[in-house]
Formats: sequence, C-alpha cells, structure tokens
Amino acid sequence: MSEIIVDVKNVRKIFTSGTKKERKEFSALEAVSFTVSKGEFVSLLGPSGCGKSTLLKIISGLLPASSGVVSISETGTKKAPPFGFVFQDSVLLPWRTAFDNALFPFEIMGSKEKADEARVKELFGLAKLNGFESSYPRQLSGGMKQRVSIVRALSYNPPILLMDEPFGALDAITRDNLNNVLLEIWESTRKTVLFVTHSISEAVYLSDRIIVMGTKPGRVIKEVPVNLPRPRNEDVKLTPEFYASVKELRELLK
Amino acid sequence: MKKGFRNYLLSGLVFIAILVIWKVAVMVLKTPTHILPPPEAILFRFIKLIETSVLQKSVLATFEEILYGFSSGAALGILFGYILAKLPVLEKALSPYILIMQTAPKISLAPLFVLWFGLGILSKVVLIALVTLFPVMINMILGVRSTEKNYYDLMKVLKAKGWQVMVKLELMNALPYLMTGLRVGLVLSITAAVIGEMMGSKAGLGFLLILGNEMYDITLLLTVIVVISLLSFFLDIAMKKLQEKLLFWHESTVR
Ligand SMILES: Nc1ncnc2c1ncn2[C@@H]1O[C@H](COP(=O)(O)OP(=O)(O)OP(=O)(O)O)[C@@H](O)[C@H]1O
Ligand SMILES: [Mg+2]
Repeated sequence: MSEIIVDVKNVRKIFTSGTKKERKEFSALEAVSFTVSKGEFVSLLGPSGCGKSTLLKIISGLLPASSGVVSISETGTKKAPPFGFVFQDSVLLPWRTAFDNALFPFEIMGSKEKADEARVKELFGLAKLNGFESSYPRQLSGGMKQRVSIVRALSYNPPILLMDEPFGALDAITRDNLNNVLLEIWESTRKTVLFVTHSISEAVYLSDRIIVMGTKPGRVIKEVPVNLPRPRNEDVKLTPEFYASVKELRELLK
Repeated sequence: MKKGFRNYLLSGLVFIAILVIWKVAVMVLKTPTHILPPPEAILFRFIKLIETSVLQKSVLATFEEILYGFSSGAALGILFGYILAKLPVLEKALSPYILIMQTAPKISLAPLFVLWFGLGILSKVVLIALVTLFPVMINMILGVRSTEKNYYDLMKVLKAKGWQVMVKLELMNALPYLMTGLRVGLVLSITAAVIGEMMGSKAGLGFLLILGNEMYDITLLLTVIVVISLLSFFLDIAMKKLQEKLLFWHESTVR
C-alpha cells in the first residue's frame, strides 16, 4: 500500500448546547478512524446527519475534535494549506468574476505568479468553463458556480482535495456531467480526494474506496473498496460489478 | 434607450402641465403676487439671484456644510458600525441608547448646537454628521452581520489574516447595505443643513429662507425651495449612480 496522507484516529465530536444549568450534549461522531492514501479517491457515504460535514471540518481544521487525532502528512507550504476545500454551495464572492474568484487564494496568500494564472486558465479549460472567465457569479448556473469553486480549490495545487457534497444541490443530469468533469480533472492531477456524498451511485462511480457511515451516533460502519477499472466512463454504470457494489452499499445503509 | 427617452418626454410634459395650471390659476383667481407669484417670477428671481451671485454663495455654503458633515458622519458611522457588529456584547449594552437616539428627532437638537457651536459652519456640520451617523451605522451593522458562515470558513481554510477577512470579505459584503444607509443619510443631511441654517447662521440656503420669511418675500422663498429640491434631487442621483457603479455585481442592480 502506498503512503498514508490522511490519518484519522479515534475522532469524537460532542456538541454541547443549552444553558449552563441544563447542558445538552450531542454526540455527532463516535470513535471514527480511517486513513486515506496518496492519490486515492475516497468517499464518505452516509445518511443526512451522520456527521460527514463535521468530520470534514475537523480534518480541515475548521472545527476542533473533542478527542482523537487527525494527522496529515502533507504540510502544504507555509502560506498555502495542504488541502483545497469545496463547499456544498459554491461560496463564490459575488463581487468578483469567475476568474478572479479562482485566483482569490493567491491574493490571500500574497503571492501570485504568471504561472499561477496560466494554471488557473488551464483548469478553466478542464472544467469546461472556457469563455466564462469574466462572468460574475450571478450570471452563472449552479453547476458552473460549483465548477468554479472546484477550480478555486485546485488553483494553488494542494495535494489534498476535500469536497463536501459539492453536487448535492444539482439536478441529476448536471450532476452526472460534473462527475465526469471531476473524474477527468482527477485523472490528470491525481490528487488525494476525500469526497462527501449521500448518493450511493455517485460514490461508487467516483471512488477507489467508500467509507460507509451510520447515524446516532455518527460512526464508521464499514469500508467498501470499489474495484472498477480506471479510467471510468458512463458505461461502467451498466456493468454487473457496479450493480453489485450499489446493492452491497444499499444493504449496509438500510 | 428609446423607452428612456419616452419617459423623459412624459416627465417633461407633466412639468409643463404643472407650470400651465399654476399660471392659469394665478390669472383666473387673480391672487396677489405677494401671496402666490406666477411661475415666471420664480425664473426671473432665479436669474437675478445668480447675477448678484447670492445664489452661488448660498448653495456653496450649504454644500460645504453637507460635504463636511456628511463625510464625517458617514466615516464615524462606518467605524462604529463595524465595531458594534464585531462586538455583540458592546452592541447589547448600548442598544437601548442607540434605539432612543435613532428614533429621537435629531433635528430638534439644532437650536442647542447653534448655542454650543455658534452661528458658523461648525454647528451645522455637527448636526449633519449626527443625522448621517445613525442610518449609516445601523446599515453597517446589518451588512457586516449578514456575512455568511461559509465565507468565514473559506477564509479560514485559506489561512486569511484578520485584516483580509475585514477588507476582502466583511466590508465588501456590507457594501450594498452601506450604500442604502448612505443614501438615507444624504437626504437627511440636506434637511439638517437647511434647518440648521434656519436656526441661526450667516449664510446658506436656509439663511435665505429666513430672509425671505422676514421680508414676506414669497418669490424668494419659492425660488429657494425650488433650488433646495433641485440640490437634493441631483445629490441623490449622484449617489444612485455611485451605488450602481459600486454594486454592478449585486442582484439589486437589475439592467
Ligand atoms: N455547531 C453545531 N452545534 C450542534 N450540533 C451540531 C453542530 N453542527 C452539526 N451538529 C449536529 O451534528 C450532526 C451531524 O451534522 P453534519 O452537518 O456533520 O451532518 P451531515 O452528515 O453532513 O449531514 P448532511 O448530509 O445533511 O449534510 C447533526 O445531527 C447536527 O445537528
Ligand atoms: Mg453535510
């Protein structure tokens, strides 16, 4: 097995709410452990409320864990984080063009070079966004906004890509298209990807391995490897292997 | 473009209609000139006031007060608004006072300010700054607070520094709200300037109003009122143009 990039060990998350007298504790994640290897595409699959977003936020450092450790062996650069984050809704700055949104990370890091712009231009091509560089977010469709958001996350070339239901709000047709765009980008960049979804077929189509999560409390039920050949295209969805994986996962999530 | 031209044409016709009705009313009712002068008297007085450069001086004086008062009030409103938005505890502590100040007619402080700060420009500048401060501050608080959590997460993921979050996210996000506050503040500024001048001053459009009042000069009063209305109108148009220019990316700017 290749080098482990993300190592999650015994992570728990307890949310407390209510007043001081009447403390309410809610266990969102219970002893979650798993690893992600370099260049691997791993999905977190589970029903709504099982703590997928919470887990991703803990991994990215947006939230502290109540206990347990997350180690990431890629450090990134001093200025840039080791991961790009794609949110469920695109989180584009409405006062910037699509291109300037994609370049935003460089502005924050205070270091933009000619090569960076060329790279973003190339990613625009990969994401099939050519010609929309100077459009503002309100002029873009939901799917296009999400593609810009992916380009932004990849712009500074982070080794890890964290995605939280990036296509959850899109219709099925757009979603299928974007899955293919994502696969293409992944084939050509070979990032380590941790992808959150509650769509079984999306998880099977994209992933090398699926971490199935259950709810109450949020926990890992099982890890399911997907042994479909790569590179994949829509045809793979018609194979018996694909069906077998979908069926197995459906049983697990019952 | 064509539609815009037709709208202008219609507005122009309405204006002419009002002038005609006014003129006919004066002729038919035979009102004495010192009660209601005919429309052309306003025009003649307007020209005369310009010839003697009284009007230019008065407009300039009022404009200067608005310029200083509005910009200092707006600057303070933005500053206080940002601070209060970021310190909810402070905002909670001050909120009853802010509410009282906000709803109190601040114009009523005009005579007090004249006593405190004199007949010169300062008393008007302070009054104008005060009436501008509140709408700007309140809208600034709303604007900064309306920044969505997701955007803060984005900034955190990118390891943005505190000032970057403020300048590149919060202030930009607050801009549409801020512009609304500034437009309200500007309209209030004009009223405050004129009333401040009427309470005691040596120059300005409000001073001319008092003059006209003391001399029973209805023509002067009406001329000055027209000038004040035009001044407000053009200042608001300038503000609206600025708003459209700054907020071209915002949903509110429908074209
Ligand atoms: N800040 C918070 N305070 C209290 N409880 C929270 C907080 N954030 C999340 N939770 C709870 O933790 C649980 C997991 O939330 P999370 O958003 O991680 O779920 P999810 O798996 O991403 O769901 P979805 O698929 O709907 O996005 C939920 O029950 C939620 O109510
Ligand atoms: Mg979620």
